[in-house]
Amino acid sequence: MRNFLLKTIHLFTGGQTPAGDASLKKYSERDLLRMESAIGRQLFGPVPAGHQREFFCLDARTWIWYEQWLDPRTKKQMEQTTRYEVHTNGIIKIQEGQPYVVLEGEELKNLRMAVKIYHERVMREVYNRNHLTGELFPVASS
Amino acid sequence: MSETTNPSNVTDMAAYRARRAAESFNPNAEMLGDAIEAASNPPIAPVTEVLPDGRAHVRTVEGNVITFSPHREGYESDKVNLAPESQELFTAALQITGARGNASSLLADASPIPNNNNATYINAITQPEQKAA
Repeated sequence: MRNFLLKTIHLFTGGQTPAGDASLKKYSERDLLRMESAIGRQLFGPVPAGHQREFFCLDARTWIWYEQWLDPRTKKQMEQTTRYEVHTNGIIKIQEGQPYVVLEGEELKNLRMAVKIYHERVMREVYNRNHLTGELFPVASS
Repeated sequence: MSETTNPSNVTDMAAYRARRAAESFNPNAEMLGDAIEAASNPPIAPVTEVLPDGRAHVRTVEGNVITFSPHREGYESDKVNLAPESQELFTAALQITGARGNASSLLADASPIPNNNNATYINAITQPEQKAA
């Protein structure tokens, strides 16, 4: 599972973001995820200098927060992946080397808020859809 | 809407086929059948796909897809009995992955993507990346 998550993260850190005219470029699901994460990383305030952050919906049950930074003391590159899994009885937070935690309190509230904004902005800005209905926005007539 | 299929027959058939499909990847086939029966309102079609990670997709007669995920105690459906905070995150995620799948099927060069977007995405991720020449 760890390798699977690392591969997912490296989709973002190891490649170029799509560039060029959107109408000419054909996007893969990987490209679309990068576009979503470009919105997701903005949701938690400014990214500290020297940090790289990704936040995205991996699949119907999983949300990922990834952070990479240089430790000023050891000069080593650090990274942490936090996985939020949706279960019937709540949201479970999973970090490597840590016990599983059922999310509650302020962190749960913040995650719900972030997901709400992510959902609305991604549906609108990436997929041109109404987040309430899932329907495509009508194309504006010129 | 005219009913051409007896709902109880579809449900029984779905549970039977789900058990048969589940036997190939998880010993708790009985539990999968039970979970499908418990979630059989509306009536569901047979298992349409079993993913490498053990999840199974079944499609309702309305065309909606219900995912059953294996857990230690058996299977759970993604459509029933979610806690409120889970429901919010799950619903948002489901809609996003659906839109993502639709968008990539319209725009990408890749081979046609089936309706179950989760399966397509997981397959794409677990395939080794092509190294640039």
